[in-house]
Amino acid sequence: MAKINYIEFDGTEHVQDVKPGLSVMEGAVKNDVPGIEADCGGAGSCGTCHVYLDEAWLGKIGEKSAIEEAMLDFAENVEFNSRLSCQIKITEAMDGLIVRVPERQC
Amino acid sequence: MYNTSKPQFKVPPHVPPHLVMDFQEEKDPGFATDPFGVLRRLAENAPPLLYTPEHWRCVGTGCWVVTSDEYAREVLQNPDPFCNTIRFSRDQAQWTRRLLPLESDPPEHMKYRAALAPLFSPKAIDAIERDVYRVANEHLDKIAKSGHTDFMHTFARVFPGTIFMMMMGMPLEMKDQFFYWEEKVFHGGTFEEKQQVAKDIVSFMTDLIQEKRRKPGEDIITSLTKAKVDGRPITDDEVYDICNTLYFAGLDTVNAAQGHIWRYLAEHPEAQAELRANPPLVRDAIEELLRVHSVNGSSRVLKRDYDFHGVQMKAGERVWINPELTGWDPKVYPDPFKVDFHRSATPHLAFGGGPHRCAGSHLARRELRIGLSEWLRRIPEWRIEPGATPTYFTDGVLSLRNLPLVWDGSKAI
Repeated sequence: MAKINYIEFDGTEHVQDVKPGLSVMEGAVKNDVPGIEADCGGAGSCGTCHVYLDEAWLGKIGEKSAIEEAMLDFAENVEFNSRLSCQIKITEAMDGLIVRVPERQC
Repeated sequence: MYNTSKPQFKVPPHVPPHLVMDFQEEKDPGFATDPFGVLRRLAENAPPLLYTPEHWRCVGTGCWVVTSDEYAREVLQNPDPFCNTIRFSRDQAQWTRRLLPLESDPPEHMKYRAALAPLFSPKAIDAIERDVYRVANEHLDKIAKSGHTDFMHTFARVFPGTIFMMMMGMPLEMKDQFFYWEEKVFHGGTFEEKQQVAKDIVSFMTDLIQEKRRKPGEDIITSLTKAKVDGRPITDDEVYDICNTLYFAGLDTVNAAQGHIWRYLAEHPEAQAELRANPPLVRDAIEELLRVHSVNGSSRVLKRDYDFHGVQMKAGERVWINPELTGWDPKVYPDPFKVDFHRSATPHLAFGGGPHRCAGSHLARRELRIGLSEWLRRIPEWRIEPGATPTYFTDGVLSLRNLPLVWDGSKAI
């Protein structure tokens, strides 16, 4: 299991034990963490699972594919550490991962 | 629900009899004046999965209909086995090409979607927001002081259509021709008329794509001609097929949505008042109204035999998703028929879900938001013209034919 900390816009933290193999998005949606909508269900087609990766984890979890880059265009307030959480597959090495949830998904 | 006296009903033996239900909303005589009422009656009796022996979306066969939010999401999010690559709709019989990315499945699907998505991203829509305001106001200028209008003709159909033409780089001088085509293709006359118009559109669009290659502009068609698919340049055929999808997916839908929203507000002055008093609420109001008055469903075809929650489905069978019904799912939306602008935001399925989820949702939402905000700003309380009966089209996207509205023109700005 990997502990993932989802931090809401208002600072509320949700630390969830998530099985490796699930995506960061699935870890949120299955545990009722608010703020990640995942309209398209994880197909990388809607941009509503947008999260900000904690800077300490940059470079440690694999890079975005070209398609994720294109799909991130669908999100709002995209920053250098923006990711589509449906495209990040959780591994044991991500134990302690921190992501921040934007104020709203578009 | 199963009318055994009708001899044409043929139900395959593997379909459980208790799931068979005659689900043909457009054949109900009440549909032309109260389609949502008809759908609501069907919703109240429908199981989450049913089989209808006839449906206007299927030629010569029945189909499965999914009515619950949970089942709809499952179908939409699983292109295997619920695929888009097997032709399903009678409306598409006149097209020998395929609509892209609509009629493709992953992994091919994403290659086209990636070319399309940036053109409709929130950033891209931000860039044209001023134009959206301008076009909305140009159309309002023509009607505001008069105190009356047929909303569908003077605003709902022309406002998004004008934006569409601008975004695609089509010359605005051909507006009349464009709207004539639109009328015929979506709600036109005979099959033959539609076929002729289809040919005319093919011819026009093919020429336009060539022109954009020769003389690039700052428009969607130009951007598409420069796209790469799988690392190689996109072909003209692919550009054409994507443009076709934009045309079919992007026009009649938002036209229709406006009709339902403006009608609701015309019949609920207290809701109009609430929005006038609290303009930022427009955003949530639009989502809630899209939930209860969705306009366009999704079809899928089984690409192999499949056990869906204990029910046998066979390869080649069709599945139809009605977002009107999923939006009324009481498991997700308590008191589902009540319109409440303050409902906690739950993603509805008006824009679909899964890989094919509407790529134009940001544009649609922005048009609806700006169109409605400008109406609220410039037009005082509007009502349906006394004595008028708005009626609906009984095929295609669920849309009003006409919506005569009246207001005090002397108070309009």
